Amino acid sequence: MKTSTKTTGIKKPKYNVLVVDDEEKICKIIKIFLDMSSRFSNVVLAKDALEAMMKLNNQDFDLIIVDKSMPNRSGLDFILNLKKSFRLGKIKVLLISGCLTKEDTLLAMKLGIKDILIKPFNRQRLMEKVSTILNF
Amino acid sequence: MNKKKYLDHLFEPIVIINNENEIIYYNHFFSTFTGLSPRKIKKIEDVHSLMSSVDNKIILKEQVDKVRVNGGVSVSKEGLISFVDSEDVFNCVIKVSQASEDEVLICFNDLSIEKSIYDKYRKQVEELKVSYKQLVLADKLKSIGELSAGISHEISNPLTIASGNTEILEILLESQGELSSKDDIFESISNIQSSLLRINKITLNMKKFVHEGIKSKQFVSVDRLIQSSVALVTPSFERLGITLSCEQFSDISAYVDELAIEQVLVNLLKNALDAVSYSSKKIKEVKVFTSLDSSNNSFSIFIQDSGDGIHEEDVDKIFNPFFTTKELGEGTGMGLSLSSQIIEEHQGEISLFENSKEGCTFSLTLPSAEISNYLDLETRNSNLEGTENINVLVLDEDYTNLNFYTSLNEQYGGSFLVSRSISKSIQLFESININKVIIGESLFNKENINSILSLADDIEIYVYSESDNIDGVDISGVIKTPPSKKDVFNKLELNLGDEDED
Repeated sequence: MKTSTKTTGIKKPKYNVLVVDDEEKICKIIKIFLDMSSRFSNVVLAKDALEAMMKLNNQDFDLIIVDKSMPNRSGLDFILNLKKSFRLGKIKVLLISGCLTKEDTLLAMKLGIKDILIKPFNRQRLMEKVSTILNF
Repeated sequence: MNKKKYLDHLFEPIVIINNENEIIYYNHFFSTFTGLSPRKIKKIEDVHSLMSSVDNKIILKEQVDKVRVNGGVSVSKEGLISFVDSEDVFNCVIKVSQASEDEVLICFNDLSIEKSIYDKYRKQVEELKVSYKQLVLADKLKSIGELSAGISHEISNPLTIASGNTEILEILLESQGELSSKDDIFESISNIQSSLLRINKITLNMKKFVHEGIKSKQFVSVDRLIQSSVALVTPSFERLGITLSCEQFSDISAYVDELAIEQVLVNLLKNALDAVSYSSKKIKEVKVFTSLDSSNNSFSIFIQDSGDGIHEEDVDKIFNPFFTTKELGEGTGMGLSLSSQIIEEHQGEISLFENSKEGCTFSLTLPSAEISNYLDLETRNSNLEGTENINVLVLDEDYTNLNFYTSLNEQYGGSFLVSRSISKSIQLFESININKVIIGESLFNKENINSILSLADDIEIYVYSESDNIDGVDISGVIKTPPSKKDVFNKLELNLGDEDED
């Protein structure tokens, strides 16, 4: 959940982010990029939907960055499951993918996913998308 | 002379000449065939001035002289001839035979029509070959097209890692030791390198698959064949969340055109993926497993899916060209038909092994590497009449070495039988006269040597080695590794033919 920090007198909220991708190295890159910004208090990594569910049980998050294609359960399936079980709540979602079909995009829209980031991406693209979604 | 009148009823041009080579009789059809009027024929003093050979393949004088001396019949080669005062050229065979003691009969067999039909047939066969090649390539391109979404995803991951790490590297270097350690920098470099290698591997796999290739068989591990086909389809399976599992394969070898078999496997895997993804079942999986039938000297690869199976009424049609159960524009209907053709060319069989509402299993059965290699060699040698072959058995575990010898068969007409297993080859080649054996260092031991000698007492044994001599063993020679064809042919005292350079 959002926490506030005191910098030059203005309170800027800090965000908790959950990154879900079976590619450990991509998770790590996203964490490094986000950690470079002062707007995140905690960036937590999960390698699949199962691990992500466990992290969600332990902590509140403002944003989930999830890969569409993962073994066992896809990113879209994971979000659908969260939505069905009313656990998504106000958590915003950024979907990352290397290849999206028309059907994927339609389903993402239906699920209320805020934005899609196409791989390969750089730090600037990631930060643009994240800051727009979190409105900072 | 009356008997000659019967010749007038024949539709073959015939002339009869006397000992002075004068035409004493010609039938009706001869006049029609040559277009020569009776007056012109009468004017011909010597039959040899009647016609000339355009391509110098027919020498009528030699044939006539031969028949006069030896009697019997003389048949010329097929050749082009033209008659006096005529521009027409005929593709003919000339038969010369003795009609009586002082008469010779010459019959012109016109093959022009047969030749034009044959040329047309050959042209059509060539066109068919080109069409088949194009069809095979089109099928491969379609497969790649269908798999492209998965492949592009597979490439985008290492690309993200590589580009992300270059940015991290930049940040680390800019911080000049404040945040960065040498280990972090090396980690980023290593991530970039491994990602680029990953991309390279994917593109190489694709390139290899689409490449038309040279149709040549090679000794390959079945495990490798399956893994490279599975690598091409895995991204598509992952994208759709379908499990693709491969059992741990045993050490089976095949002697096949690797690219062609890969195409068959990709086709079967793609079909299985479609079957499972269209199915409403909860469990969505495809399994690949193999079995080795040692009694029949063959092995099988099975592809099992958990789809809804094939409708009974469609079972007999699935291998027919252009048969598809997919929506219009989704499938060409050529996949299984081409696959079956490819497997037949390998003396194998592709079949629907199991079919039920619980899914279906396709099986692909091929002869063992040793049998396949032997059959190929037999077919080639049966075309070489009058040559006595020296059969050389090569026993080695290294695929590169084995393929070196099979390539010598193709290029220089060698008779190398290759195998990775001593016991198997002894069982297989018991009835074949093996003259020489080359044995790889990894298989070289006293027990194996004794087994080889059980094939024949006078067998010559050669060993691969990096050194020139092997002590304590009675062998005919040492072949240095890596082998060169000049060394092999010299050591084994085989004829290299016209090629004597490496």
